[in-house]
Amino acid sequence: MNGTPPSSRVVVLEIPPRHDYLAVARRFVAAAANIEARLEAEQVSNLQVAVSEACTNAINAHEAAGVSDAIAIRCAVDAARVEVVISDHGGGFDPAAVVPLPEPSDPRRLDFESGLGIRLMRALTDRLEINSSSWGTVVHVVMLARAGSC
Amino acid sequence: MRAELRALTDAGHRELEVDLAGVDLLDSTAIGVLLGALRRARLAGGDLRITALEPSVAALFGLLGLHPVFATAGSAAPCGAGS
Repeated sequence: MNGTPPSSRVVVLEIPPRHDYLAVARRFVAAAANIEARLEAEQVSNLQVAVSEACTNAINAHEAAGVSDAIAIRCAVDAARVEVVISDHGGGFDPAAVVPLPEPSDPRRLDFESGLGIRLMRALTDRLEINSSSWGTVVHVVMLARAGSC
Repeated sequence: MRAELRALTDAGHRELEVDLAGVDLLDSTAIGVLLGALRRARLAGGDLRITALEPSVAALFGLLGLHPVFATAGSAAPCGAGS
């Protein structure tokens, strides 16, 4: 994605790779978004869920890799958008390997207990980009203010 | 929730009801747990029903195409309505 616009304010939070810190991440993102961005309440809620999903994946990756480093959450905010970057050092994965879900009417749909997080992130945000390598994963989500909100 | 649902299905309970009243945030991990419990219940000839879906959670179910998958009943009324 393009670099952060010069008009954006940047706020950074680092959380330990623990699930009990997910609530902190959600509150942080909502607080940052409500300062300047003209997002609707539903959009802020959706952004919270998307960031929580990304952080959950990051925490799980750190646990699997035995890494105790913090997970970084960087919010860039202006009136038109909120961009959140979640970075981990959990060893990476292949985003292209995420298998498409069977149709809801397909009995095999019940077999997909995991892997719903990325689908949820993509559905809840305006833009999603995931870059992953052996050293970790960077998830970049963007929520745009709707026309007439600015 | 995962442990409790597993204990119920392991004990032979096939008809399960999960009340989500007051739950306004459900992440994909929790939804996956519900899917797993639903699968085990149906494999045993039963079912899992979800009641009192908050609007925000109902919206997530819709995004994931889960409304046809789960039997649901009675979404919670908005706070203050009818109380």
